[in-house]
Amino acid sequence: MIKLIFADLRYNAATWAGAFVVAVACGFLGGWVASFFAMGQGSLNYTVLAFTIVAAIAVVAAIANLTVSAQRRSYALWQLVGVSPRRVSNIVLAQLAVVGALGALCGTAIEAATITPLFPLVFASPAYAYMLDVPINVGVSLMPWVWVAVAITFVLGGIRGAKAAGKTPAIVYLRGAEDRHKKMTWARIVMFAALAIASVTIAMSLYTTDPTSDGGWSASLFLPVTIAAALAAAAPIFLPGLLHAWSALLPNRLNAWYLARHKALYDLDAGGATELPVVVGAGIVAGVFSLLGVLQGYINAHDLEGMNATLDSTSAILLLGGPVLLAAVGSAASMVMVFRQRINDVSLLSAVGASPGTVVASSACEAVVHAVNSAIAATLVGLVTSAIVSTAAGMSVFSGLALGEGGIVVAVGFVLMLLASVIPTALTFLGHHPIPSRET
Amino acid sequence: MEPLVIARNLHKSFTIGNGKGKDKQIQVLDGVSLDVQPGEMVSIVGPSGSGKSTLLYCLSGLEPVDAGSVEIAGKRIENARPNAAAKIRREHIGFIFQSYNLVPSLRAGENVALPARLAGHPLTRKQLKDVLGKVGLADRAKDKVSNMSGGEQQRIAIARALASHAEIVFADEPTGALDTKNANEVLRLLRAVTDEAGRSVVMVTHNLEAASIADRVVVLRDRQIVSELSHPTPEQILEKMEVSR
Repeated sequence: MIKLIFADLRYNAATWAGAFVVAVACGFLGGWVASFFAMGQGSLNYTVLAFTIVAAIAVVAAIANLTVSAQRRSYALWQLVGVSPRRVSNIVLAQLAVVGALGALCGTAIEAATITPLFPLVFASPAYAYMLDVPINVGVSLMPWVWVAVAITFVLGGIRGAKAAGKTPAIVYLRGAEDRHKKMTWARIVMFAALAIASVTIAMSLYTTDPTSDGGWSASLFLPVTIAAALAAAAPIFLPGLLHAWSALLPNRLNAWYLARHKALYDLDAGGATELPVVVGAGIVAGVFSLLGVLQGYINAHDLEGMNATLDSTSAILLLGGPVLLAAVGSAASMVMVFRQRINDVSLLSAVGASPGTVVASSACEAVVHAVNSAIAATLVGLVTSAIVSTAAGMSVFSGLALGEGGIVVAVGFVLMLLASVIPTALTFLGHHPIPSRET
Repeated sequence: MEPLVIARNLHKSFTIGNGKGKDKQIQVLDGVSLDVQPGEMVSIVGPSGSGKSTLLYCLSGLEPVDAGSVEIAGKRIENARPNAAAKIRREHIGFIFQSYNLVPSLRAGENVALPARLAGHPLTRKQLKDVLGKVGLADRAKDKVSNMSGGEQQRIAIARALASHAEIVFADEPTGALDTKNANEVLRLLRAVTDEAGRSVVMVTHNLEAASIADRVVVLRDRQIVSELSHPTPEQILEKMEVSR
């Protein structure tokens, strides 16, 4: 059995490598949190964790689910050789836990090795000058908590896929006939409802509080987070619906576009895992900067001297660094994780006469599809945040709207998605001519 | 009449790693030559590992050869650059594999229409319906391919080859994953591709009954063609395979 598990890890190396890289990113961020605690600066963690934890949960859940769904054929074959469905589920979860923990271990090691040179760069803002006098303490004794936390998040993220891997009859997967139409689970519905209620509660509090009152609008900073998280909870129906709506408006004449659109609408697990990190990362960034834009507009309009609503570099890194890092790593990793399936798609298209140019352009279009869908969803977060905050402050709707910073996150995500999809596709044309595989 | 496929002195070997850093060279084809006439159906038979599928892939340009030449409709395809090979496949070749023939993200009708679309001559609705009708699936254009049976998927693959106006259809074990009834239906359709549509078919199979529907059967053994039979019975094919042992 152990041999089977390790052989599977080797065979599906690209998939596990993607999950591992995301775990490394989570471990790196968790390492900073542990170090702050060790340095007696735990209060900084409220800032770091407030945004990063939402992004981490959303990204890891999507990646863990993709990890399982990308290997459903292997798990089906395990069932055929006599591994019980329950055991398949348990092994999948154990694999996720091990990869999550090992990735986190590497991430914390990278954090420990780099904190000394990075620390002065992170705290370069004058407002945080006092931090430069704090002796750096990596907090090695706290690191195991990070490994455990990341491993647990991976397991929780993959639990649904793991159960499905065990429950679904093997033949359904082998025939490729599994239901790819994504549904909202009860857990997601409850999560969405809770986050929607939280967003409404924060919004209501803004309408009844003076922005200049002491701490009156401190909760406003969480508004983009709860909105982005609500969208992430509803992602299985929201993102495909959004993609269907806008992409149907464009003509299908270009073959590359035609193939990319169909693939994106078909492979919802991979699409969701690619888009979700960018939606959350860019959505939070767009929401936060829109919020600050409104507040700065309010300050200017009311001549409130001595106040400003700009974000210094250190605060920006602490607040948004985690979501942005996870957005970039998560979206690129998800594209690499479906490497084996991509090779087979290339083979099928080549066999029916698609030129390498068409196939490579199609994979580039795929990155465009995911980036545009993510950008629209992230823009929605910025727009809703801006509309609520600006009207609550008595200003015109969408005043202070700032989508540029979120756009940069989308652009970075797009470049990484592009590289992660085009390079493997192009490489399949080098060295050998692709032949469709009898597996997916 | 000029043959549609002219393969001369094909050599092909694979390098296989043993996981311990020592690679091994395996010769799969050793001086194979084969012609296929327009409108002719040819079956390639032979024991497992005799190089049947490799020959098919080399003939169709999916696999490069180490030495030798392959012409399809007067165009050299062996070791052609990817764009040139894709153009030849688009214009002259249809494929039917044992399974996983169809692009899963496209519906059945979209799969059938794909080669024509890639060639810049999209099918009209009527053309699509007609070609699906020829394989008995006129009302299944909107179906997801994953919801179709193996036999239906093979028939869609045949419809795709018909729709693309491919002059030659390469079929690799097209009935290998099918029950007898579906296998017979697929074979009947493949025969019709030759008899009614006037296309050539080259089919690799280990099923001697299936092979015997061809105009000519080529027996491959030990990397070489050891025998050719015209309109043979399954028994005659078996006999030749036994003799060549």
